Amino acid sequence: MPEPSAKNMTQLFTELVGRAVTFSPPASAAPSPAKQIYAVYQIKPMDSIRVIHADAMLLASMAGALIGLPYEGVKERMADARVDEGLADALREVMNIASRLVSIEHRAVFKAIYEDARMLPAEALGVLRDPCYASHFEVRVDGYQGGRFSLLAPY
Amino acid sequence: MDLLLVDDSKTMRMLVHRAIRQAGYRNLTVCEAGNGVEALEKVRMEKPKLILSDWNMPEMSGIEFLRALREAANQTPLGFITSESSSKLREIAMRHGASFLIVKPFTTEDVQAALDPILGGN
Repeated sequence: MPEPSAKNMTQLFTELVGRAVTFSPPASAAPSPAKQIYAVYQIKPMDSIRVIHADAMLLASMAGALIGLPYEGVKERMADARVDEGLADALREVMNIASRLVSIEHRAVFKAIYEDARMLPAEALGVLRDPCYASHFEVRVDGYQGGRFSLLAPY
Repeated sequence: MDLLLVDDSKTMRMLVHRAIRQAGYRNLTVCEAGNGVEALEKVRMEKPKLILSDWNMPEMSGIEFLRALREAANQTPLGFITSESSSKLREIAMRHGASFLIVKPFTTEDVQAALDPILGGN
């Protein structure tokens, strides 16, 4: 699978949220201990599945920056048992726009996000557990919390 | 009604609305719909001069909405705002009568360049 470069990811997300977002190779290959959010994409025309998983606070930070919610507000909302609809909607939009780089060769259609890996559809869970291809990034978001971002593919 | 904005994401409707204002169209009257079905009803009621629509939406996708509009002999200019940017998708959109396609993330200049030829500047 042709890899989305850190440079392309940096450009896309910086343009999207309107502040500096920097993607770089991770310092460590160890899995992130932070709570994760999972996004599932369908690749057309093959109908194969790709999965992005990333630290929840990283994605919430990008979503907050997108709608102009300060970092303190993002933290407060993420501390609640149920994330408020405004931030959740912005988070879905961040992951929807990420579909542009999920596949470089083919059309990627964003399907859904999940807060719990156990809720993933079987095919997506299979990709998460045993990806043939994985691309990991460490992400910084100016003025917000950064974190780990991974793209997984079955081939 | 000047413009109908169709997107299932409230966030994106807010961002597009903001970009429209920043492009200088501060006095446009704008109404919103969350999907194609709702949008068809708004078109009938509000008779907008221009429609901006997402591509991927529940209930009725953007291209299904455009098809339904043209089948009803409604020629209101419609442009897509979508995260997908393949040449195939662009070709499908234009073949069905779309006026333009703006790719997310977009800039104020992108929105202005798309709107000016139809709304005649601001």
